[in-house]
Amino acid sequence: MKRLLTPIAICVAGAMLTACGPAAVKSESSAVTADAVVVHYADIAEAVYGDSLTTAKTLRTAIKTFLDAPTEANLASAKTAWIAARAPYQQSEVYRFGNAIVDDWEGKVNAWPLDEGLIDYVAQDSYGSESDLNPLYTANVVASKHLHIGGEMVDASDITPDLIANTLQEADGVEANVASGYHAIEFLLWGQDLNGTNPGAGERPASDFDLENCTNGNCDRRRDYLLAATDLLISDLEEMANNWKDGGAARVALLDQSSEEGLATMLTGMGSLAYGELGGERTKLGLMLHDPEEEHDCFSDNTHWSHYHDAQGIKNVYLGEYKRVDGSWVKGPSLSKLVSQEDIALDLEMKAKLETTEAAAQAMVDAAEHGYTFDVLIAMNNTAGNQLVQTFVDSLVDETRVTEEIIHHLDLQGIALEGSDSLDNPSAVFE
Amino acid sequence: MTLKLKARHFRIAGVFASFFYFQSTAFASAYSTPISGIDAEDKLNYKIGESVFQKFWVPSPSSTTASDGLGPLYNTRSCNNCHINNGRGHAPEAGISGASVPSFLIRFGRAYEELSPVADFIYPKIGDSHYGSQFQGHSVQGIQPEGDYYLSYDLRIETLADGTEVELRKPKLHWSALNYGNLEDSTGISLLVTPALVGMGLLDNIPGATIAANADPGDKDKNGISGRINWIPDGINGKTIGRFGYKASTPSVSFQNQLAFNTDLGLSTPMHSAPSGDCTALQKECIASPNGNSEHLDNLEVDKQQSDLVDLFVSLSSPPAMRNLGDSTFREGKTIFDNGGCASCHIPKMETGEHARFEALENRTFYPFTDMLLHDMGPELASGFPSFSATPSEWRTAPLWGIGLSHKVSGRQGFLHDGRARTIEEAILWHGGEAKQSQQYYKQLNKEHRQKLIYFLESL
Repeated sequence: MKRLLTPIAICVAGAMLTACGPAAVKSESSAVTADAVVVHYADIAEAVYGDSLTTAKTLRTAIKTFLDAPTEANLASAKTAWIAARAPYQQSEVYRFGNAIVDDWEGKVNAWPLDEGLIDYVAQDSYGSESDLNPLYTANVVASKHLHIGGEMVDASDITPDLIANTLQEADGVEANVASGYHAIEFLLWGQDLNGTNPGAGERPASDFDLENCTNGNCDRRRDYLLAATDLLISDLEEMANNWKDGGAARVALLDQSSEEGLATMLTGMGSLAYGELGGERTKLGLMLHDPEEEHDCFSDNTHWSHYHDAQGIKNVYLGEYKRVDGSWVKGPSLSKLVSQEDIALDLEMKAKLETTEAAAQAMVDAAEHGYTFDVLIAMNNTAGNQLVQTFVDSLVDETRVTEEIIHHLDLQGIALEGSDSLDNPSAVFE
Repeated sequence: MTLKLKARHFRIAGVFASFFYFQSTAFASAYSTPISGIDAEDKLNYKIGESVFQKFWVPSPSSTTASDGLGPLYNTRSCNNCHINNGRGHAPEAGISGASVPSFLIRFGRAYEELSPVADFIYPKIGDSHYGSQFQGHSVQGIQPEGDYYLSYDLRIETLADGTEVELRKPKLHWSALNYGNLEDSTGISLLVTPALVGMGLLDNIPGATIAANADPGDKDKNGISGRINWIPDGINGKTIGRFGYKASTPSVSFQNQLAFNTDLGLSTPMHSAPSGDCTALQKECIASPNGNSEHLDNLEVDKQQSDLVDLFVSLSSPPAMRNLGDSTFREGKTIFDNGGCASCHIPKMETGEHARFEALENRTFYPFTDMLLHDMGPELASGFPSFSATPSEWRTAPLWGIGLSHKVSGRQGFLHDGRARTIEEAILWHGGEAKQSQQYYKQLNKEHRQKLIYFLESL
C-alpha cells in the first residue's frame, strides 16, 4: 500500500508557497497530511459528543423545571430543549459507521423504531393490544410495577437508569423494545403521533406529568421514567464524549490504525450514512411505503432537522469543520484539503455535492416550517412532497458516488479487506 | 479524473468485500454484505431491499397498505424470520411444537409407487388437495391454521474405521393436529429446513451450458457419479434448468423469492398472483378472506418494486470471503477433499456469464463448491415425492461456501435438507447413493485427517 503523502510530495506541494524545508512542512497554510486530517477528525468527534452531552444536560434542566411546574409552557420549553439536543447528536452519527465502538454503543441512545407501548399508554385502536413478535408490546412500564419478562417476574417499582438500561432495553431480546435514548424521551414528551400522514405531531398534555391533576394515570411513575431516561442518556453520552478525549478508547482505536485506514474510516462513515442509513432506511423506505411508521423522529415530527443534521455531519467531516453549539468553530486539516492537493476538480465536485444535499435537506426543513413535515411529504398522492424527499435521496446517492471516487483516487479501496487472509487469492489454490 | 469501480481485478466475488462494509467485523453480516462493484444507487437499493426482507407483514385490512396481506395461511411474517441474516434455519428439537419453529417446513407432493422409466420425465407439481403444497401452522384471525406437529429422532451409531462412534439422528414426523382432515393417501412428505442464502445471484448466473457440461446422466465416464439437470416446466411445452431449492426445483432467484412470499407468507407477487397463497379450493374460508391487493401496488400485495428490491438484496449479497487460505492445514484439508472425490460434485470454481440482470454479477469468478446438478443420495435421505424431474432420492449438490459461519450468522447450525446433521461430520456420514464412496473414504480417515478436512470445509 502506498503512503498517501510522502515527505517529498509534501515538499512539492509546499514548494508552491515557500522553499522546501521543515518550516514549510509545519506551515498550516500549506499542505495537510493524512495523519493530521485523521487527528482532526477525532477532534471534531470530541467536540460534537461534548456538545451532545452539554445539550442533554440543558435538556435535563428544562425537564426538571417542567416537572417542578408541569405547565404547557414548560413542556414546550422541554421539547425545544430536546430538539436542540438532537442538533449536535445527529451531527455525530457520521462517526457511527467506521468506528465500531460508536456503532456498538449507538443503540442505547438512538435506537429506533420502538414499540412505545412498552413504556407508556398507547392508543389501542391504531397501535393494537398485542403482537406475536413482542410479548412486551403493551407492557406499559409506567403503569406496571411488576413485569413478566422472559418468564420471570421483574420488580419495576423503582424506575431507575439501571432498570431501563439493564432490564427493559431490548427486553426479551426484541430490538423494538427501546426503553432508553432520545426516542424514548421523545415519546414521553410528545406522545404518539396519531395523525398518520396528515399534519400534526404527538399531543401529550403537560398534565400527564402533573401530580395534582394527573391525566392518563401514573403521573408519578411517568415523571420518574422521564428523569431516569434523561439521566441515562447523559451518562451514555458522557461515556462517548470521554471515548474521544485524549487517551479515550475511540480515539486510540482510530489512531492505532495506519493513516490510510483512518482516512478509510472517515470516508466509510460518510458513505454508509449517506446512502445506507440516511438515504435508504430512514428516507427512501418510508417514501416507498408511504408509511409514517418508518419516520425517524416520528413523535415530534422533527425528522427534517434530524435528517438535515445527519447530512451536516457528513459535510463537517469532509470540510474538517464543526460549528459548536456556543457558536465557535472547530477548524483544522481537512479531507477536502487533502483531496484538493491531489485533484482540485474532485474536491470541488465533492463540495458541490455536499451543497446540493444541504439544499435538499433545507428544502425539507422549509416545508416543515409550513406544516409539511416529513410524514406529510411521504403521503401517497402527495406528488410534490414525494419529489422533495426523492430529491434528498438522489442527492445523497450522488454524494456517495463522489465519495467512492475519492476512495479510489486516494487508492484506499484495498483497505476494504479484512485481514490478510482475504488477500490470498483463492485462484492460487483452486484451479 | 473519474475512476470507475469496474476495474477487473476488483471483481473477484467474496474476496473483496464491498467497501463501505469493511469495518463491520461482525460475522452476523457474513452472508448479508453487498458484493463489490455495485453502484451507489444499488447500494441504497440493497439497504432498502434488506429492510423489505426484514419487515413484518400484517393481515388485511390494515392502515399500512404497503405491508399488509399476510396469509390467510402462513408459516412466518418476514423473510428474515426464517433466513436470519440470510443464514440457515434449524429443525425443531424432539417433542416441541413444530409450528413454533418458522424455519422448518413440511412440503406435500404426489407420491408414486413406481417411477417413470422415461428419462428426464417431468412429474407435475401436485400438492395435497386439502393442504396444498405446504403445511402452514399459522393463520390470520378467523381462519383455522392447518394444525401442528412435532418431531422425534431415530438415533443410530455410525462407527468409523478407527473405532470412533458418531451418533446420527433421523427426524420422524408426528402430527399433533390436522385441522382440515387427513392428508390424501397419495400425498408424500418432505421435511425441509430454511437454506442459507449465500451468493444466490452468482449461482443464478452460471451459464446453463456450464451446468449442462458437467451433467453425466448415464455416467458415461463410469466414475460412479452421474449428475442430472432438474428439468422443470417452462411455458406450455418448454423446459428450463432448475437451480434453487434442495432439489433445484425453481429456475431463478426471483421465482424462488416470489414463491416463498406466496407460499410461506401468503402474499401475492407479480409471478405468483394468488393473494391467498397456498390455500386450496377446499379451504373455502381461506380463499374468501380479505386480501391486501392494492391498486397502487399493481393490484398485488408484494408489488413489482418491493419484489425487485428483495431480488436485488438476495442476488447482490456477497458470499463470505474464504478464510485460512494461506494455512497449511487448509491445503492439507483440500488434498483430502480432492482425494475423497468430494470435488466431483462439490465443484469449487464457477464463473458467471454475460447478460446478468445485475451488471455486477457478470463475468465473476467464485467458489461455491457445487455443480448445481442432482445426484442420487441414497434411500436414507430420500424425500416422499419427486419434484419435477428430480426423483425422491436425488438432491442438488449443496453449495459449501460459508458453511463454517452458519452458527455465527444465524445462531444455528444444522445441515442437509432437513437439518438432521448437527455437525459437518454428521452431514458427511449421511452421504449415500452416488456419494457413498466418498463417505466410505471419510470413514477410513484418521482423526487428524478428519479434522483437517473439517477445518478446510469450515474455511470455505
